[in-house]
Amino acid sequence: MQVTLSPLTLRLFVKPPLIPLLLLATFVDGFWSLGNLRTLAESISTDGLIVAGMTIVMIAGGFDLSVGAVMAMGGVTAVVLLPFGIVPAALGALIAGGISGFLSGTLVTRLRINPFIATLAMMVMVRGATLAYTDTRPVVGLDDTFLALGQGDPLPYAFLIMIVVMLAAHVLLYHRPWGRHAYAVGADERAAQMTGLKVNRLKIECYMLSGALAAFAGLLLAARLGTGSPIVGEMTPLTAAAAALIGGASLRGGEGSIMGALCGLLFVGCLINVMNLLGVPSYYQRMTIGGLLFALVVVEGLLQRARPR
Amino acid sequence: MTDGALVDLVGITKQFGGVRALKGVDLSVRPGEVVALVGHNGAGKSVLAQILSGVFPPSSGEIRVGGKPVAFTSPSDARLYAIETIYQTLALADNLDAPANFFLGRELRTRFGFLDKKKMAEEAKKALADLNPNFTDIERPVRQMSGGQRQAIAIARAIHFQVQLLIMDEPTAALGPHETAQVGELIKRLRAQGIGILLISHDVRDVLRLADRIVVLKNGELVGALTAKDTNEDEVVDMIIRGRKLDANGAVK
Repeated sequence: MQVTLSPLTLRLFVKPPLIPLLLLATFVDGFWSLGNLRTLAESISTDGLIVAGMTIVMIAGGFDLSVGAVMAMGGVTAVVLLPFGIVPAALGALIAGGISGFLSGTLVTRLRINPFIATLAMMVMVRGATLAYTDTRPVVGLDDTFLALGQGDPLPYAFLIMIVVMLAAHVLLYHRPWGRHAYAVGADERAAQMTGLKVNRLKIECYMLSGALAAFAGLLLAARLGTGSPIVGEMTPLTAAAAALIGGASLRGGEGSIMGALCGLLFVGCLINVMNLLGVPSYYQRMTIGGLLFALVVVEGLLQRARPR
Repeated sequence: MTDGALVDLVGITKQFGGVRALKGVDLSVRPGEVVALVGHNGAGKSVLAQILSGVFPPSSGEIRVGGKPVAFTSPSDARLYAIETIYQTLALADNLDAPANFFLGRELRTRFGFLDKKKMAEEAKKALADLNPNFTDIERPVRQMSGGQRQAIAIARAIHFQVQLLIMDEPTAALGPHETAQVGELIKRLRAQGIGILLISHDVRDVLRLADRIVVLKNGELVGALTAKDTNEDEVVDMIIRGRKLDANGAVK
Protein backbone atom coordinates (compact mmCIF):
# COMPACT_ATOMS: atom_id res chain seq x y z
CA MET A 1 0.00 0.00 0.00
CA GLN A 2 1.30 3.41 -0.88
CA VAL A 3 0.63 6.24 1.53
CA THR A 4 0.85 9.69 0.05
CA LEU A 5 1.61 12.56 2.37
CA SER A 6 1.39 16.20 1.49
CA PRO A 7 4.78 17.93 1.33
CA LEU A 8 4.00 19.96 4.44
CA THR A 9 2.97 16.87 6.43
CA LEU A 10 6.11 15.14 5.27
CA ARG A 11 8.19 18.14 6.33
CA LEU A 12 6.70 18.36 9.78
CA PHE A 13 6.29 14.70 10.72
CA VAL A 14 8.73 12.59 8.76
CA LYS A 15 11.58 14.46 7.21
CA PRO A 16 12.45 15.75 9.79
CA PRO A 17 10.14 14.38 12.51
CA LEU A 18 9.85 17.88 13.94
CA ILE A 19 6.36 17.59 15.49
CA PRO A 20 7.09 14.21 17.13
CA LEU A 21 10.26 15.70 18.57
CA LEU A 22 8.34 18.70 19.93
CA LEU A 23 5.73 16.38 21.46
CA LEU A 24 8.44 14.30 23.08
CA ALA A 25 10.06 17.48 24.32
CA THR A 26 6.88 18.21 26.28
CA PHE A 27 8.00 15.51 28.70
CA VAL A 28 11.27 17.31 29.24
CA ASP A 29 11.00 19.69 32.17
CA GLY A 30 11.16 23.30 31.20
CA PHE A 31 11.19 22.86 27.41
CA TRP A 32 8.07 24.95 26.88
CA SER A 33 9.07 27.60 29.42
CA LEU A 34 9.45 31.11 28.04
CA GLY A 35 13.05 31.29 29.17
CA ASN A 36 13.96 28.12 27.34
CA LEU A 37 12.10 29.08 24.17
CA ARG A 38 14.09 32.28 24.18
CA THR A 39 17.33 30.35 24.56
CA LEU A 40 16.22 28.13 21.69
CA ALA A 41 15.36 31.13 19.52
CA GLU A 42 18.74 32.69 20.27
CA SER A 43 20.70 29.57 19.48
CA ILE A 44 18.95 28.82 16.20
CA SER A 45 19.04 32.39 14.94
CA THR A 46 22.80 32.61 14.47
CA ASP A 47 22.94 29.08 13.09
CA GLY A 48 19.96 29.95 10.87
CA LEU A 49 21.93 32.55 8.92
CA ILE A 50 24.62 29.95 8.34
CA VAL A 51 22.14 27.25 7.33
CA ALA A 52 20.63 29.63 4.77
CA GLY A 53 24.07 30.21 3.23
CA MET A 54 25.01 26.55 3.39
CA THR A 55 21.74 25.56 1.69
CA ILE A 56 22.38 27.98 -1.17
CA VAL A 57 25.93 26.69 -1.63
CA MET A 58 24.68 23.09 -1.58
CA ILE A 59 21.93 23.82 -4.11
CA ALA A 60 24.63 25.05 -6.48
CA GLY A 61 26.51 21.79 -5.96
CA GLY A 62 29.07 22.94 -3.40
CA PHE A 63 29.74 22.71 0.30
CA ASP A 64 31.19 25.12 2.86
CA LEU A 65 33.18 23.75 5.78
CA SER A 66 34.61 27.16 6.61
CA VAL A 67 31.39 28.66 8.03
CA GLY A 68 32.30 28.14 11.70
CA ALA A 69 35.74 29.69 11.38
CA VAL A 70 34.33 32.56 9.33
CA MET A 71 31.71 33.10 12.02
CA ALA A 72 34.44 33.49 14.64
CA MET A 73 36.38 35.82 12.34
CA GLY A 74 33.23 37.88 11.71
CA GLY A 75 32.59 38.29 15.44
CA VAL A 76 36.16 39.29 16.17
CA THR A 77 36.29 41.67 13.19
CA ALA A 78 33.08 43.37 14.27
CA VAL A 79 34.22 43.86 17.86
CA VAL A 80 37.62 45.14 16.78
CA LEU A 81 36.01 47.69 14.44
CA LEU A 82 33.38 48.71 16.99
CA PRO A 83 35.26 51.87 18.08
CA PHE A 84 34.63 53.24 14.56
CA GLY A 85 30.88 52.74 14.96
CA ILE A 86 28.44 49.94 14.51
CA VAL A 87 28.00 50.40 10.77
CA PRO A 88 31.72 50.10 9.96
CA ALA A 89 31.82 47.09 12.30
CA ALA A 90 29.00 45.36 10.47
CA LEU A 91 30.41 46.27 7.05
CA GLY A 92 33.84 45.06 8.11
CA ALA A 93 32.46 41.68 9.19
CA LEU A 94 30.43 41.31 5.99
CA ILE A 95 33.40 42.23 3.80
CA ALA A 96 35.75 39.88 5.67
CA GLY A 97 33.24 37.04 5.26
CA GLY A 98 32.69 37.93 1.62
CA ILE A 99 36.41 37.89 0.88
CA SER A 100 36.83 34.51 2.52
CA GLY A 101 33.89 33.20 0.45
CA PHE A 102 35.43 34.70 -2.66
CA LEU A 103 38.66 32.82 -2.00
CA SER A 104 36.81 29.53 -1.39
CA GLY A 105 34.77 30.04 -4.54
CA THR A 106 37.87 30.85 -6.57
CA LEU A 107 39.61 27.69 -5.36
CA VAL A 108 36.55 25.63 -6.26
CA THR A 109 35.92 27.13 -9.69
CA ARG A 110 39.15 28.38 -11.25
CA LEU A 111 41.43 25.77 -9.70
CA ARG A 112 38.80 23.00 -9.78
CA ILE A 113 39.51 21.92 -6.22
CA ASN A 114 36.94 19.74 -4.48
CA PRO A 115 34.72 22.00 -2.32
CA PHE A 116 35.37 19.95 0.82
CA ILE A 117 39.13 20.31 0.46
CA ALA A 118 39.02 23.96 -0.60
CA THR A 119 36.79 25.06 2.25
CA LEU A 120 38.65 22.84 4.71
CA ALA A 121 41.79 24.76 3.82
CA MET A 122 39.92 28.05 4.20
CA MET A 123 38.52 26.88 7.53
CA VAL A 124 41.95 26.14 8.97
CA MET A 125 43.48 29.31 7.52
CA VAL A 126 40.71 31.60 8.76
CA ARG A 127 40.65 29.97 12.19
CA GLY A 128 44.42 30.22 12.43
CA ALA A 129 44.42 33.88 11.41
CA THR A 130 41.67 34.70 13.91
CA LEU A 131 43.47 32.91 16.75
CA ALA A 132 46.74 34.57 15.84
CA TYR A 133 45.22 38.05 15.69
CA THR A 134 43.45 37.70 19.04
CA ASP A 135 46.27 35.74 20.65
CA THR A 136 43.54 33.11 21.33
CA ARG A 137 41.78 35.47 23.78
CA PRO A 138 38.28 36.85 23.30
CA VAL A 139 38.15 40.50 22.33
CA VAL A 140 35.75 42.54 24.43
CA GLY A 141 33.50 45.21 23.01
CA LEU A 142 31.50 47.46 25.28
CA ASP A 143 29.26 49.47 23.00
CA ASP A 144 25.70 49.85 24.24
CA THR A 145 24.09 49.78 20.78
CA PHE A 146 26.08 46.71 19.91
CA LEU A 147 25.17 44.87 23.11
CA ALA A 148 21.51 45.85 22.64
CA LEU A 149 21.61 44.09 19.27
CA GLY A 150 22.18 40.88 21.21
CA GLN A 151 18.95 41.39 23.17
CA GLY A 152 15.41 42.12 21.96
CA ASP A 153 12.08 41.63 23.66
CA PRO A 154 9.98 39.54 23.46
CA LEU A 155 11.83 38.01 20.51
CA PRO A 156 15.60 38.36 20.18
CA TYR A 157 16.60 40.74 17.38
CA ALA A 158 18.83 38.01 16.01
CA PHE A 159 15.79 35.79 15.57
CA LEU A 160 13.93 38.49 13.63
CA ILE A 161 17.01 39.06 11.48
CA MET A 162 17.19 35.33 10.81
CA ILE A 163 13.56 35.27 9.68
CA VAL A 164 14.18 38.23 7.36
CA VAL A 165 17.29 36.56 5.91
CA MET A 166 15.43 33.29 5.37
CA LEU A 167 12.62 35.13 3.57
CA ALA A 168 15.11 37.00 1.41
CA ALA A 169 16.93 33.77 0.59
CA HIS A 170 13.64 32.14 -0.32
CA VAL A 171 12.75 34.98 -2.68
CA LEU A 172 16.24 34.87 -4.18
CA LEU A 173 15.97 31.13 -4.85
CA TYR A 174 12.39 30.94 -6.09
CA HIS A 175 11.53 34.28 -7.56
CA ARG A 176 14.73 35.56 -9.09
CA PRO A 177 16.55 34.20 -12.15
CA TRP A 178 19.70 33.89 -10.03
CA GLY A 179 18.16 31.20 -7.83
CA ARG A 180 16.93 29.23 -10.78
CA HIS A 181 20.42 29.36 -12.26
CA ALA A 182 21.82 28.07 -8.96
CA TYR A 183 19.55 25.03 -9.17
CA ALA A 184 20.56 24.45 -12.80
CA VAL A 185 24.27 24.71 -11.99
CA GLY A 186 23.89 22.29 -9.09
CA ALA A 187 22.07 19.74 -11.21
CA ASP A 188 24.41 19.73 -14.20
CA GLU A 189 27.21 22.22 -14.38
CA ARG A 190 28.14 21.41 -17.96
CA ALA A 191 24.61 21.70 -19.21
CA ALA A 192 24.27 25.00 -17.39
CA GLN A 193 27.43 26.27 -19.04
CA MET A 194 26.23 25.16 -22.48
CA THR A 195 23.00 27.06 -21.86
CA GLY A 196 25.11 30.17 -21.45
CA LEU A 197 24.99 30.51 -17.67
CA LYS A 198 28.05 32.02 -16.00
CA VAL A 199 28.74 28.96 -13.87
CA ASN A 200 31.96 30.05 -12.16
CA ARG A 201 30.68 33.48 -11.33
CA LEU A 202 27.50 32.09 -9.85
CA LYS A 203 29.33 29.58 -7.68
CA ILE A 204 31.71 32.23 -6.39
CA GLU A 205 28.70 34.39 -5.52
CA CYS A 206 27.22 31.47 -3.56
CA TYR A 207 30.36 31.10 -1.47
CA MET A 208 30.54 34.86 -0.93
CA LEU A 209 26.96 34.87 0.28
CA SER A 210 27.69 31.99 2.62
CA GLY A 211 30.81 33.72 3.95
CA ALA A 212 29.05 37.05 4.48
CA LEU A 213 26.13 35.39 6.27
CA ALA A 214 28.46 33.38 8.51
CA ALA A 215 30.42 36.50 9.42
CA PHE A 216 27.22 38.36 10.19
CA ALA A 217 26.09 35.46 12.36
CA GLY A 218 29.41 35.90 14.19
CA LEU A 219 28.58 39.56 14.75
CA LEU A 220 25.20 38.69 16.25
CA LEU A 221 26.76 36.03 18.45
CA ALA A 222 29.40 38.49 19.65
CA ALA A 223 26.66 41.01 20.46
CA ARG A 224 24.83 38.39 22.53
CA LEU A 225 27.94 37.20 24.34
CA GLY A 226 29.43 40.66 24.71
CA THR A 227 32.75 39.41 23.32
CA GLY A 228 34.23 38.38 20.00
CA SER A 229 35.54 34.90 20.65
CA PRO A 230 38.06 33.31 18.28
CA ILE A 231 37.06 29.79 19.28
CA VAL A 232 33.30 29.75 18.61
CA GLY A 233 31.70 27.76 15.82
CA GLU A 234 33.81 24.65 15.94
CA MET A 235 30.76 22.42 15.50
CA THR A 236 28.88 24.86 13.27
CA PRO A 237 29.72 23.34 9.86
CA LEU A 238 28.42 19.99 11.06
CA THR A 239 25.20 21.23 12.62
CA ALA A 240 24.56 23.47 9.62
CA ALA A 241 25.21 20.62 7.19
CA ALA A 242 22.94 18.32 9.20
CA ALA A 243 20.16 20.92 9.16
CA ALA A 244 20.54 21.54 5.42
CA LEU A 245 20.62 17.82 4.60
CA ILE A 246 17.60 17.10 6.81
CA GLY A 247 15.87 19.96 5.05
CA GLY A 248 16.25 18.29 1.66
CA ALA A 249 19.54 19.62 0.35
CA SER A 250 21.79 17.06 -1.31
CA LEU A 251 25.51 16.56 -1.56
CA ARG A 252 24.99 16.04 -5.29
CA GLY A 253 23.57 19.55 -5.67
CA GLY A 254 20.46 20.82 -7.38
CA GLU A 255 18.16 20.04 -4.47
CA GLY A 256 17.05 21.80 -1.33
CA SER A 257 14.90 24.68 -0.20
CA ILE A 258 14.82 27.37 2.44
CA MET A 259 11.56 26.08 3.94
CA GLY A 260 13.19 22.67 4.29
CA ALA A 261 16.32 24.20 5.76
CA LEU A 262 14.21 26.07 8.32
CA CYS A 263 12.57 22.80 9.42
CA GLY A 264 15.96 21.09 9.55
CA LEU A 265 17.31 23.97 11.61
CA LEU A 266 14.41 23.76 14.07
CA PHE A 267 14.86 20.00 14.35
CA VAL A 268 18.58 20.15 15.05
CA GLY A 269 18.13 23.16 17.33
CA CYS A 270 15.42 21.44 19.36
CA LEU A 271 17.46 18.26 19.56
CA ILE A 272 20.46 20.09 20.99
CA ASN A 273 18.23 22.11 23.29
CA VAL A 274 16.55 18.99 24.68
CA MET A 275 19.92 17.36 25.23
CA ASN A 276 21.04 20.46 27.13
CA LEU A 277 17.93 20.39 29.29
CA LEU A 278 18.50 16.72 30.03
CA GLY A 279 22.05 17.48 31.00
CA VAL A 280 23.59 15.34 28.28
CA PRO A 281 27.36 16.00 28.36
CA SER A 282 28.65 17.87 25.33
CA TYR A 283 30.76 14.92 24.13
CA TYR A 284 27.65 12.82 23.81
CA GLN A 285 25.91 15.71 22.09
CA ARG A 286 28.69 15.76 19.55
CA MET A 287 28.36 12.05 19.06
CA THR A 288 24.64 12.50 18.47
CA ILE A 289 25.06 15.25 15.87
CA GLY A 290 27.91 13.33 14.25
CA GLY A 291 25.79 10.17 14.20
CA LEU A 292 22.88 12.09 12.70
CA LEU A 293 25.12 13.49 9.97
CA PHE A 294 26.57 10.02 9.37
CA ALA A 295 23.08 8.54 9.02
CA LEU A 296 22.05 11.30 6.62
CA VAL A 297 25.07 10.76 4.42
CA VAL A 298 24.53 7.00 4.39
CA VAL A 299 20.88 7.45 3.43
CA GLU A 300 21.88 9.87 0.71
CA GLY A 301 24.45 7.40 -0.59
CA LEU A 302 21.86 4.62 -0.71
CA LEU A 303 19.41 6.89 -2.51
CA GLN A 304 22.07 7.81 -4.99
CA ARG A 305 22.69 4.15 -5.78
CA ALA A 306 18.99 3.39 -5.99
CA ARG A 307 18.35 6.26 -8.37
CA PRO A 308 21.01 6.46 -11.07
CA ARG A 309 21.06 9.86 -12.67
CA MET B 1 35.30 33.76 -46.92
CA THR B 2 32.10 33.17 -48.81
CA ASP B 3 30.00 36.12 -49.95
CA GLY B 4 26.70 36.45 -48.11
CA ALA B 5 27.58 33.81 -45.59
CA LEU B 6 25.95 33.93 -42.17
CA VAL B 7 28.98 32.45 -40.55
CA ASP B 8 32.51 31.62 -41.68
CA LEU B 9 34.99 29.50 -39.82
CA VAL B 10 38.50 30.21 -41.06
CA GLY B 11 41.49 28.01 -40.27
CA ILE B 12 40.02 26.76 -37.00
CA THR B 13 42.32 24.60 -34.90
CA LYS B 14 41.74 23.15 -31.46
CA GLN B 15 44.28 21.58 -29.19
CA PHE B 16 43.36 19.71 -26.00
CA GLY B 17 46.64 19.13 -24.19
CA GLY B 18 48.63 17.05 -26.65
CA VAL B 19 45.66 16.14 -28.79
CA ARG B 20 44.96 18.12 -31.95
CA ALA B 21 41.20 17.78 -32.31
CA LEU B 22 40.94 20.21 -35.25
CA LYS B 23 43.72 20.98 -37.68
CA GLY B 24 42.64 24.04 -39.60
CA VAL B 25 39.02 23.80 -40.70
CA ASP B 26 37.25 26.24 -43.03
CA LEU B 27 33.48 26.17 -43.19
CA SER B 28 30.69 28.55 -44.18
CA VAL B 29 26.96 28.46 -43.79
CA ARG B 30 24.67 30.72 -45.82
CA PRO B 31 21.13 31.78 -44.93
CA GLY B 32 18.57 29.13 -45.79
CA GLU B 33 21.24 26.51 -46.31
CA VAL B 34 21.55 23.17 -44.57
CA VAL B 35 25.17 22.13 -44.24
CA ALA B 36 25.75 18.65 -42.92
CA LEU B 37 28.90 17.80 -41.02
CA VAL B 38 29.68 14.09 -41.17
CA GLY B 39 32.53 11.91 -40.03
CA HIS B 40 33.49 9.16 -37.65
CA ASN B 41 33.31 9.45 -33.88
CA GLY B 42 36.27 11.54 -32.83
CA ALA B 43 36.62 13.22 -36.22
CA GLY B 44 36.06 16.59 -34.52
CA LYS B 45 32.44 17.27 -35.43
CA SER B 46 31.23 18.07 -31.94
CA VAL B 47 34.34 20.07 -31.13
CA LEU B 48 33.73 22.23 -34.19
CA ALA B 49 30.08 22.66 -33.22
CA GLN B 50 31.00 23.64 -29.67
CA ILE B 51 33.52 26.21 -30.89
CA LEU B 52 30.85 27.76 -33.08
CA SER B 53 28.35 27.77 -30.21
CA GLY B 54 30.83 29.40 -27.84
CA VAL B 55 31.40 26.53 -25.39
CA PHE B 56 35.15 26.95 -25.79
CA PRO B 57 37.33 29.16 -27.99
CA PRO B 58 39.43 27.82 -30.88
CA SER B 59 43.20 27.51 -30.34
CA SER B 60 43.69 29.50 -33.51
CA GLY B 61 41.63 30.63 -36.46
CA GLU B 62 38.74 33.00 -36.80
CA ILE B 63 34.97 32.95 -36.49
CA ARG B 64 33.22 35.54 -38.63
CA VAL B 65 29.56 36.44 -38.38
CA GLY B 66 28.25 38.40 -41.36
CA GLY B 67 31.88 38.84 -42.45
CA LYS B 68 33.03 40.42 -39.17
CA PRO B 69 35.42 38.58 -36.84
CA VAL B 70 33.92 37.75 -33.47
CA ALA B 71 35.18 36.14 -30.27
CA PHE B 72 32.84 34.10 -28.09
CA THR B 73 33.68 33.68 -24.42
CA SER B 74 30.50 31.73 -23.64
CA PRO B 75 27.43 30.35 -25.37
CA SER B 76 25.55 33.47 -24.33
CA ASP B 77 27.89 35.45 -26.61
CA ALA B 78 27.00 33.21 -29.54
CA ARG B 79 23.32 33.71 -28.72
CA LEU B 80 23.81 37.46 -29.07
CA TYR B 81 24.68 36.77 -32.73
CA ALA B 82 21.54 34.62 -33.08
CA ILE B 83 23.51 31.38 -33.09
CA GLU B 84 21.55 28.71 -31.25
CA THR B 85 22.58 25.14 -30.54
CA ILE B 86 20.79 21.89 -29.88
CA TYR B 87 23.43 19.83 -28.11
CA GLN B 88 23.71 16.10 -28.38
CA THR B 89 23.40 15.93 -24.59
CA LEU B 90 20.46 18.38 -24.82
CA ALA B 91 21.96 20.43 -21.95
CA LEU B 92 18.87 20.34 -19.78
CA ALA B 93 18.75 20.82 -16.01
CA ASP B 94 17.02 17.63 -14.88
CA ASN B 95 15.70 19.11 -11.65
CA LEU B 96 13.85 21.98 -13.34
CA ASP B 97 10.58 21.80 -15.25
CA ALA B 98 10.11 22.43 -18.96
CA PRO B 99 9.36 26.17 -18.80
CA ALA B 100 12.38 26.73 -16.53
CA ASN B 101 14.64 24.90 -18.98
CA PHE B 102 13.02 26.61 -21.93
CA PHE B 103 13.84 30.07 -20.57
CA LEU B 104 17.05 29.14 -18.73
CA GLY B 105 19.45 32.08 -18.93
CA ARG B 106 16.87 34.45 -20.46
CA GLU B 107 14.02 34.34 -18.01
CA LEU B 108 11.05 36.64 -18.41
CA ARG B 109 10.74 39.01 -15.48
CA THR B 110 8.04 41.14 -13.99
CA ARG B 111 8.55 44.87 -13.61
CA PHE B 112 10.25 44.30 -10.26
CA GLY B 113 12.76 41.79 -11.56
CA PHE B 114 11.00 38.68 -10.29
CA LEU B 115 10.45 35.59 -12.40
CA ASP B 116 7.28 35.85 -14.44
CA LYS B 117 6.46 32.17 -14.04
CA LYS B 118 2.95 32.38 -15.42
CA LYS B 119 3.96 34.01 -18.66
CA MET B 120 6.94 31.68 -19.11
CA ALA B 121 4.72 28.62 -18.59
CA GLU B 122 2.22 29.92 -21.14
CA GLU B 123 4.83 30.71 -23.79
CA ALA B 124 6.70 27.45 -23.27
CA LYS B 125 3.48 25.48 -23.47
CA LYS B 126 2.58 27.12 -26.74
CA ALA B 127 6.03 26.60 -28.25
CA LEU B 128 6.14 22.96 -27.19
CA ALA B 129 2.62 22.30 -28.46
CA ASP B 130 3.78 23.59 -31.85
CA LEU B 131 6.30 20.75 -31.98
CA ASN B 132 4.20 18.09 -30.30
CA PRO B 133 0.49 18.76 -29.67
CA ASN B 134 0.34 15.94 -27.09
CA PHE B 135 3.03 17.46 -24.94
CA THR B 136 1.00 19.43 -22.40
CA ASP B 137 2.09 18.16 -18.99
CA ILE B 138 5.13 20.40 -18.91
CA GLU B 139 5.36 21.59 -15.33
CA ARG B 140 7.29 18.73 -13.79
CA PRO B 141 11.04 18.06 -13.56
CA VAL B 142 12.35 17.08 -16.97
CA ARG B 143 14.06 14.01 -15.49
CA GLN B 144 10.57 12.49 -15.42
CA MET B 145 10.06 13.06 -19.15
CA SER B 146 10.61 10.80 -22.15
CA GLY B 147 13.55 11.16 -24.51
CA GLY B 148 11.32 12.66 -27.18
CA GLN B 149 9.85 15.21 -24.81
CA ARG B 150 13.28 16.23 -23.57
CA GLN B 151 14.44 16.60 -27.16
CA ALA B 152 11.39 18.72 -27.89
CA ILE B 153 12.35 21.12 -25.09
CA ALA B 154 15.90 21.46 -26.41
CA ILE B 155 14.66 22.06 -29.96
CA ALA B 156 11.86 24.42 -28.96
CA ARG B 157 14.10 26.69 -26.93
CA ALA B 158 16.67 26.87 -29.71
CA ILE B 159 14.19 28.05 -32.33
CA HIS B 160 11.89 30.15 -30.16
CA PHE B 161 14.22 33.08 -29.79
CA GLN B 162 15.93 35.06 -32.51
CA VAL B 163 17.87 32.49 -34.52
CA GLN B 164 19.83 32.83 -37.76
CA LEU B 165 22.15 29.90 -37.47
CA LEU B 166 20.98 26.71 -35.82
CA ILE B 167 23.55 24.09 -34.88
CA MET B 168 22.05 20.65 -34.43
CA ASP B 169 24.36 18.05 -32.91
CA GLU B 170 22.91 14.59 -33.59
CA PRO B 171 19.35 15.85 -33.24
CA THR B 172 17.76 12.50 -33.98
CA ALA B 173 20.12 10.15 -32.13
CA ALA B 174 17.67 9.53 -29.29
CA LEU B 175 14.49 9.52 -31.36
CA GLY B 176 12.21 6.94 -32.94
CA PRO B 177 11.36 6.95 -36.67
CA HIS B 178 8.24 9.07 -36.30
CA GLU B 179 9.98 11.74 -34.25
CA THR B 180 12.98 11.66 -36.60
CA ALA B 181 10.66 12.42 -39.50
CA GLN B 182 9.24 15.33 -37.52
CA VAL B 183 12.70 16.78 -37.02
CA GLY B 184 13.24 16.43 -40.78
CA GLU B 185 10.08 18.42 -41.44
CA LEU B 186 11.20 21.03 -38.97
CA ILE B 187 14.57 21.42 -40.69
CA LYS B 188 12.83 22.01 -44.02
CA ARG B 189 10.51 24.56 -42.45
CA LEU B 190 13.39 26.47 -40.84
CA ARG B 191 15.36 26.44 -44.08
CA ALA B 192 12.37 27.92 -45.87
CA GLN B 193 12.43 30.75 -43.31
CA GLY B 194 16.01 31.56 -44.31
CA ILE B 195 17.67 30.08 -41.25
CA GLY B 196 21.07 28.51 -41.80
CA ILE B 197 21.50 25.07 -40.30
CA LEU B 198 24.64 23.17 -39.41
CA LEU B 199 23.54 19.58 -39.04
CA ILE B 200 25.83 17.06 -37.41
CA SER B 201 24.81 13.48 -37.96
CA HIS B 202 25.91 9.90 -38.26
CA ASP B 203 23.00 9.01 -40.44
CA VAL B 204 24.18 9.40 -44.03
CA ARG B 205 20.74 8.71 -45.49
CA ASP B 206 19.19 11.41 -43.33
CA VAL B 207 21.91 13.80 -44.31
CA LEU B 208 21.43 13.16 -48.04
CA ARG B 209 17.73 13.79 -47.68
CA LEU B 210 17.99 17.00 -45.65
CA ALA B 211 21.23 18.77 -46.48
CA ASP B 212 22.23 21.05 -49.33
CA ARG B 213 25.94 20.52 -48.79
CA ILE B 214 27.81 17.74 -47.07
CA VAL B 215 31.14 18.38 -45.43
CA VAL B 216 33.30 15.45 -44.34
CA LEU B 217 35.65 15.63 -41.37
CA LYS B 218 38.33 13.06 -40.68
CA ASN B 219 40.90 13.25 -37.89
CA GLY B 220 40.25 16.94 -37.41
CA GLU B 221 40.64 17.83 -41.09
CA LEU B 222 38.18 18.67 -43.82
CA VAL B 223 38.51 15.89 -46.36
CA GLY B 224 35.61 16.53 -48.63
CA ALA B 225 32.72 18.76 -49.57
CA LEU B 226 29.85 17.43 -51.65
CA THR B 227 26.62 18.82 -53.03
CA ALA B 228 23.87 16.63 -51.68
CA LYS B 229 21.93 16.39 -54.92
CA ASP B 230 25.01 15.36 -56.94
CA THR B 231 26.20 12.59 -54.68
CA ASN B 232 25.05 9.34 -53.19
CA GLU B 233 25.37 7.27 -50.06
CA ASP B 234 28.33 5.25 -51.33
CA GLU B 235 30.37 8.30 -52.18
CA VAL B 236 29.76 9.94 -48.80
CA VAL B 237 30.51 6.76 -46.85
CA ASP B 238 33.64 6.22 -48.92
CA MET B 239 34.81 9.71 -48.08
CA ILE B 240 34.08 9.27 -44.37
CA ILE B 241 36.11 6.07 -44.30
CA ARG B 242 38.98 6.76 -46.67
CA GLY B 243 39.06 10.51 -46.38
CA ARG B 244 40.56 12.12 -49.44
CA LYS B 245 42.18 15.46 -48.94
CA LEU B 246 41.15 18.49 -50.97
CA ASP B 247 43.63 20.60 -52.89
CA ALA B 248 43.59 24.39 -52.76
CA ASN B 249 40.81 24.69 -55.36
CA GLY B 250 38.51 22.41 -53.43
CA ALA B 251 38.94 19.58 -55.92
CA VAL B 252 39.65 16.04 -54.84
CA LYS B 253 43.26 15.01 -55.37
